Amino acid sequence: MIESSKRHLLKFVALLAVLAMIAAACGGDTTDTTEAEGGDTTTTTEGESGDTTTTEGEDGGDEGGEPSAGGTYAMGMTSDITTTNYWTYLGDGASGTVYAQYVNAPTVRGLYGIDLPSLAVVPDLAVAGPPPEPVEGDGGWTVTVELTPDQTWSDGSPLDANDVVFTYETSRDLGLSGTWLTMYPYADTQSPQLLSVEATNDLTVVYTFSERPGLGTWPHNVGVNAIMSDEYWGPIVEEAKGTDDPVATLYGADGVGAVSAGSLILNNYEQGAFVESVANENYGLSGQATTVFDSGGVNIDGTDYGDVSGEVIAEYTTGPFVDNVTYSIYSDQNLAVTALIEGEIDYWINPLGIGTGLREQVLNAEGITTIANPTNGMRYAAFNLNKSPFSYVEFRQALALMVDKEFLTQNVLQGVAFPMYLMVPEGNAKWFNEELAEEIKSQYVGKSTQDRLTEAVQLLKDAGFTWSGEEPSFDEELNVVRNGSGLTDPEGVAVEDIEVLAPAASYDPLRSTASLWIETWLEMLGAPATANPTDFNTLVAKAYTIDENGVGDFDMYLLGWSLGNAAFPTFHESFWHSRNSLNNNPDGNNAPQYQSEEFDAAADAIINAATEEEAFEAMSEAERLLATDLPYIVLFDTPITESFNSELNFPFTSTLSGLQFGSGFPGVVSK
Amino acid sequence: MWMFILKRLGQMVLVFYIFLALLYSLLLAQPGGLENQFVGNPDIPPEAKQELIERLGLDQPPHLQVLSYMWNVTTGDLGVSWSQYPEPVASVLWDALPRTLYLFLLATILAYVVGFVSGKLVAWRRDTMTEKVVLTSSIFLWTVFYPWFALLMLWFFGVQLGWFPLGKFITVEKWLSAPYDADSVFLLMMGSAVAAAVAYLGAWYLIRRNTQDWDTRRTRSRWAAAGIAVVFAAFWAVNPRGEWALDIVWHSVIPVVTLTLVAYASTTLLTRTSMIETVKEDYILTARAKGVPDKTIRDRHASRNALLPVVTSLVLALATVIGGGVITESIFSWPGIGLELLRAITLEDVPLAMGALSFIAVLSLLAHLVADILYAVLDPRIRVQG
Repeated sequence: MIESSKRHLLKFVALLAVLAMIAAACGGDTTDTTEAEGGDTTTTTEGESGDTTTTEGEDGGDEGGEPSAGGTYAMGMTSDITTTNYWTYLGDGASGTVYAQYVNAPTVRGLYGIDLPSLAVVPDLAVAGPPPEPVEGDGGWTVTVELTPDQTWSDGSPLDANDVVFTYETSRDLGLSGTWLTMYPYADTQSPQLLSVEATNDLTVVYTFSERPGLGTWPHNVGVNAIMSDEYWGPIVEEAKGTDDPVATLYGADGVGAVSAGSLILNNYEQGAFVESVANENYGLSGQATTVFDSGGVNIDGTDYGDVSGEVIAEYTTGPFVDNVTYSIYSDQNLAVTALIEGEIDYWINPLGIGTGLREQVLNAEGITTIANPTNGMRYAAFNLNKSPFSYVEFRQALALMVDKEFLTQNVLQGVAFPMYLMVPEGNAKWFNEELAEEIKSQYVGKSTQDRLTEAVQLLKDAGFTWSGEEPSFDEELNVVRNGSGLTDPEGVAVEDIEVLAPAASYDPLRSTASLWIETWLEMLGAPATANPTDFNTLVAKAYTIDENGVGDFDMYLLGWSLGNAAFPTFHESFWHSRNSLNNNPDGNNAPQYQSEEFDAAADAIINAATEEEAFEAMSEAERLLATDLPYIVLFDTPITESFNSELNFPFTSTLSGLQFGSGFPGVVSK
Repeated sequence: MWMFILKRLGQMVLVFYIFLALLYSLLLAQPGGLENQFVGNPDIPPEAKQELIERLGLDQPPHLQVLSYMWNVTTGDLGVSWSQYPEPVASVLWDALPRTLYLFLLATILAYVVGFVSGKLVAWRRDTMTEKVVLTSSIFLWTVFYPWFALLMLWFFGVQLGWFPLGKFITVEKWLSAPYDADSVFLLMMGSAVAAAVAYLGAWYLIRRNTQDWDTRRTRSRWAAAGIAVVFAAFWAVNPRGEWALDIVWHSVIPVVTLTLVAYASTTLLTRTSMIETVKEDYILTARAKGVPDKTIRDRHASRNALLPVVTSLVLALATVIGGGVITESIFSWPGIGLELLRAITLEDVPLAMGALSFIAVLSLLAHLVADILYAVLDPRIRVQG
């Protein structure tokens, strides 16, 4: 009986196995096809391992030539997106992540755009030519912009001045804050305030400002802001207005399938797995011919923007040339790199690039091109200007002399970082003042430790500093610095132990290491110091908290900034203007509380400049003041290293902050 | 029994509210204000900032904030995710839950079944090559550095052999044209698995009531299992979501095997130890003296008693799998509760992180309750003492 049952059971199991195999075979067809498709990507790999490069500025991959049409541009991301809705992406809250930007940015257009890599302001929806100048009128200052005719949304509906008005009015009427408020300064507390946006006809839009807008407002921000479709979003906005929380209702709308003005249409989103965008056949810039010059200018369809006197570094036509773009989500970096090497993705897009630990893998992989680009950021040491000894500019200058950035970056940090002397990074060629940088650099570079120490000690002596113990000196025989001791400030107060706050090594080993060397340099001067690697949030909270007297509870700290809009940097005002000093504005970014009328004037002049030349001059002046007053000592930054499938054709790969800065350039890349 | 359960439930509720209070207090104790994430933009007018602070309830004194949070959780309001605004936290977690449950339930149950059987066998076959091999491999797997092992599995089966995909839970190219979303397929998979499990438990209960003979009962149980498997397979064979479910299953092989191997090791070792203790009991000696066959002593006398600590371990493991998946889900790019928690922490999405932790706390407490009840059922002495 039992034997019989066993036989039956065996037969049944065999039947189940057959059924399972049939089921697997049915499912397997699709799977095989998938593998074959994925395999196509890697079967014809171009470039040998020798093609890979990490030389800064050297381009990799196939550039130029006629782009081939079609195919999938497969990107990998190490985080899911937070929203598919562009309203939400620019809104307040934490939805504006860089990954949301990668996916959403290629779906929108503004009246003007920022060309990469030149960083020139170029027309997008507006007619060819530079942005119009503001004109003073009865109701304020107006800017009248003509739109290019026959522009359409991805569904073929007309894209015109009414959409521009709709976008502004929605921001204002719903009180959208976050980046919307920066892009459209509609609030009456803002200066200049954007009073109105009106369409005088379908192709003419008039902006009215309360005051003359500087470049920081027009065309940057207002002119480059994304335009949303009235026809598509209008009913959603109207419905939202009827609810208890209109903003939440608008932000909650799904952006998948929304009409697009950009090169891509957001087509499909499977949470946690992938996003897919498809090419916009109605993209208005398709076929546009662009020539980029190394002098920073660009020629678009025969019109010059900026200085075009230099050599041509790229010539390309705008696409899109791929059928669709996929963004696969890998939550582990190792997995993303493996997927890249295995040909599963063409490019791993992420804001930090490929870290040192993973770089070796991509450099040794065939068919992978690796590039390095400068970034739009800086890491710095900031000081509490309300506390001795950093309240004395001579002490800050003495420390700046002791901080040997070349030694720090090349010897200590083994070349993974590059030294900086201006707040504007060198990679931002448009705004970087090379002459000024060389001038400042010459005050430090090439000096021996002995020279630096001698100068620093002299500076301190001249300011009235004394040493109750040993004065710092250099032992020429042993070639070592004999640390000073008992440094006393000009008021006769002994300098107490200086706490050098820096992020912990787990967060940023570079700044953590630098803090140890700064501790050493301070002690050379006779100032007792202790490097204190600290949790990032704790550090930020300490740096940005003031007591009832308006004084911060720190001596100095090491942090970093990503500098935002590279095409028109306004961070000088944000970081060092007295109106943003924490004692004047608790939400300000001027934690050292640097206050200088001269600097304030220069920072204001940058934002209010009517021309880029004016802004450049003002920025140079601001940089010169910062280099002398030293509320910060700018230290270094790291380049961004990225890798991609060598079959991809980018028209250029030398671009500030790398390919990720242009969201992977889906509108011009081809395979 | 009911009093026992009620008492435990009361303790659970108390512990949960203490947990919530501690969680929110820890949040408040952190440097910097919660509102800073939103009002850091200097362009936001002061009145808008104040409105935001009031909307978030951050203008209230800390103790009122704690009480308010506890009340909101009680009413099922976990707030709105800051990073996925305006998506409710509960909705975000609810979406992620099936993926986590699928992966970890499957792996945990497999690990316990395989681990229990192998632990039972090696305890019975002391000093044999089988014991040495199983023990050595179990100790290796139990002590292995899990992230390394998981990456090794991916590299070997995904890259070197190319048998399985490199992480993720679906094939991107295939799902670009999918007529269904993955969540609906996941839900159907979970639903059908639960239905199959319920059907089997029902069949097993009926067989147990109507069959006295042990061997017949076992044979009928197997037939019932086979029958349910056929229905299950047939359901998926004809269901249009079948091929999409198969893709998910294909992607889950490496994570499930990896998790199973690691969890199986500890179960094997636990079962072996428990069995070794049990076989020393007098009733086992009595059974042997009575001439009861070895297999019967092992399966019906020893292993059932050795099961007690293993069941407890299983129930507690089921609770921790929900929240313990941060590393697994990160490495295998499996978007479940663990990844949501990680993302919430990375993006400083406080409501989502707190919601996920509260969710894990509730499940852990429920698991403890189930463990207590099971213990009481399996060992009546505990009920009396409790």
